Amino acid sequence: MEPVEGSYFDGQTARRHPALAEPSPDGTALRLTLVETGDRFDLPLASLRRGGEQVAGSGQISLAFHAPGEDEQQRDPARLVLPLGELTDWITAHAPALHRRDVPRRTWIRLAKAGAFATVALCALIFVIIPGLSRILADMVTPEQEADIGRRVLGQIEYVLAHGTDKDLTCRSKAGQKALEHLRDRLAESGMVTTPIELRVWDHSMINAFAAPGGQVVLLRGFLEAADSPDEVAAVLAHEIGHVEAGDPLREAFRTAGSAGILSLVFGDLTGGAAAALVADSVLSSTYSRSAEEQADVFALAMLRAAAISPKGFAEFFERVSRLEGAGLPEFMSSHPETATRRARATEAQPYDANPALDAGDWAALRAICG
Amino acid sequence: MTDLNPPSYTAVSYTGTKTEIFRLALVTGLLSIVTLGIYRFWAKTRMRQHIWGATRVGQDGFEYTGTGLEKLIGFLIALVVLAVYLAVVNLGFFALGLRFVSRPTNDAEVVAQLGFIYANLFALLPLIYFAQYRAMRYRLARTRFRGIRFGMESAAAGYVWRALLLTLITALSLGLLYPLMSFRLDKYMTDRAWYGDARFEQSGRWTALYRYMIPFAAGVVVMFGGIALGAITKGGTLVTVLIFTGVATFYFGLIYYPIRAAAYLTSHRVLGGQIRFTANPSVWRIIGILIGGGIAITVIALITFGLPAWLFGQTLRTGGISQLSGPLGFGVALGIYLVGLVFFSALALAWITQPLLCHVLGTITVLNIEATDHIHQRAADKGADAEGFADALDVGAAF
Repeated sequence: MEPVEGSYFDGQTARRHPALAEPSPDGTALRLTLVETGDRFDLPLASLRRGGEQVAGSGQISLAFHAPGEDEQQRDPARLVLPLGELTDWITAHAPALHRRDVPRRTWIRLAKAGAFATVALCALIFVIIPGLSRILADMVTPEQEADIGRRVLGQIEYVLAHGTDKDLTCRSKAGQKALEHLRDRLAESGMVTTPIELRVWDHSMINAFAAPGGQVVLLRGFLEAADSPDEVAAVLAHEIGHVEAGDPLREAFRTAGSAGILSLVFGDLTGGAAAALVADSVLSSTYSRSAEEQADVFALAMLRAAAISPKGFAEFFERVSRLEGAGLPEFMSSHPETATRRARATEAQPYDANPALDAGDWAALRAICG
Repeated sequence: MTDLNPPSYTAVSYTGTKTEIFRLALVTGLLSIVTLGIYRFWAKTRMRQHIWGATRVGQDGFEYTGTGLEKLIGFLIALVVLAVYLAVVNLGFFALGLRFVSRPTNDAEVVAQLGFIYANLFALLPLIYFAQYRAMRYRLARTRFRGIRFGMESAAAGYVWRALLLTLITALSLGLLYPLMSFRLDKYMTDRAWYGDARFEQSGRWTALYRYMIPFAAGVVVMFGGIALGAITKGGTLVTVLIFTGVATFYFGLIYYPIRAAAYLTSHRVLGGQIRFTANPSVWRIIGILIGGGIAITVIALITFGLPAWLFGQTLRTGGISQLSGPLGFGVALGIYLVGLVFFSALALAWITQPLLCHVLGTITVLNIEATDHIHQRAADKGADAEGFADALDVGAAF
């Protein structure tokens, strides 16, 4: 094979050195002769790497040489540029590690450390620090401020449920509103409601009910339709009032505000849209912690007992809904205590005399509140 | 003595093709989706390797030596810092903002409330400027030409406070001092950039940039002139023509300024006191590329991706929905959305970015490149966070 003229850059200066390249006699190295000085050296084929991307049409390739050290690619700074041809074909065929990406020593350890550090720090932030700070900050909010936040949060959720329109979803049939008030008063008989509760029904088919800051509780039409008895509605309502009494919705608003953006930081721009969708979704199926859910359950059962409403609806409703729902768990189902646990909790309590949560007329009126 | 010789002129060229960049963007983009975004560090690295390699000065190409692994590590560290900062800032502003949410009763309270909303945005600015400088430093530290490293001094803090101050000044001047900001910030970076042991220097004057604002300013004047005339004469053809001309000139000015300002800055850069550059991109050519590329992308996207997506939507609407609601439907929709996004950005790279690179880089000339013969190698830069901050904040360049 004839020697091929190429350019050698020695990695010391930017000066181009004309060089002749050819296979060494034993075929294990690339022999380089510098034209200016006549210096000759052999580069073992195993040390050859591709320097930079081969772009079609450039007619040449750049070669680099493996050299362990500080370099990010573990290469000597020198480069050899050769025109494409018989010699470069020979190199491509015989250099065993031409495309190898050499990793600097300790890189994998550094990656493992950075990964562990990031995981621990983010988990601590999301599950301990932000909830803790939210608790402290939520306690500093005045009732007027909380009512205002509640209105804004409800406005946002209503906007989403109305498919991005300003439509007013609140159902306002006279008899239905009366029935709703009766239900609220019936639960208030327990004497356990210390915050004013603002209760309303929205005309939406989703089986859901949720509490927002400022004592706002919303039942969706789909939920009323799925319920078999007023006792079931009362049980879910008592659970939501439990969240209100514990101050969960406001803390949750702080937690969401504090965590905003962290998810999209992790996943980057590519899934930015996905993260936004997830966040919008999490407002609806807002997940309180498991302990908050259990406390709301305990509160609800005590409330039902004090108001002389049967706890049977409590277990039955959750059980039926869990069978019915394949996906999109409603708020009172997500991060839920197991249905079995709930049922046990509801049935193992001492039996007591109970009256229906609403009479037949009110129950019919409530179910027809959306017309 | 040597000054008597005319300087040599060496043309810069971009040799990449649409096919190569499209294939690369599509493959790396799909890999990024499949790996839940982890591959994006390698995707960016491979894209840079490609574009650097396709950019030549005379016959010598650039080389990008960054690695995906170091970017991932840098990102993980930056992520924690940013997450803590975001959490504290978000919670703090949410709590402070509450003091003002109860309906404002006078103008001062309205201003205070608005102030808080924007203060929240402003809180990220220092980080964004920091990330921009560090990203530029990393890119230069991983760029080589003829085996010699580029580099940038570690001076992000100085950049951050200057950028914040200049942003404030620009805002207070209602944008009139924008050329001062773009010149000073560019000069700050250029004056700290090196090729081997030779320093770059930004010469020229910031006031020289004003002439490139003329179309923009003329557009504004004509537009408001038309509106004022319309208020007096209650309409008429002349008003319509004036407003239309004004708006068109305004948009032309929006494209004209950054192109000509960048050309001016490039033409006033000096490397090692001896090597100069000229750049002469054509604004009309660039507008042509933007419009032509936009049309090409729309047509291709409609034919290859829009149609199947539309058919899929129709299937959902006409009864198929029962099998595809819930998480499965969400997953399928998300998948289609993400693949569409990757496809679209690959098209944009091939039909807009590639021709733009080809044109803009092709107008650059290097004067007196022989002087690089005496430029020596510089020490390796560890790359610090490998632009992890820019990746996390997504403020880095497209590639």
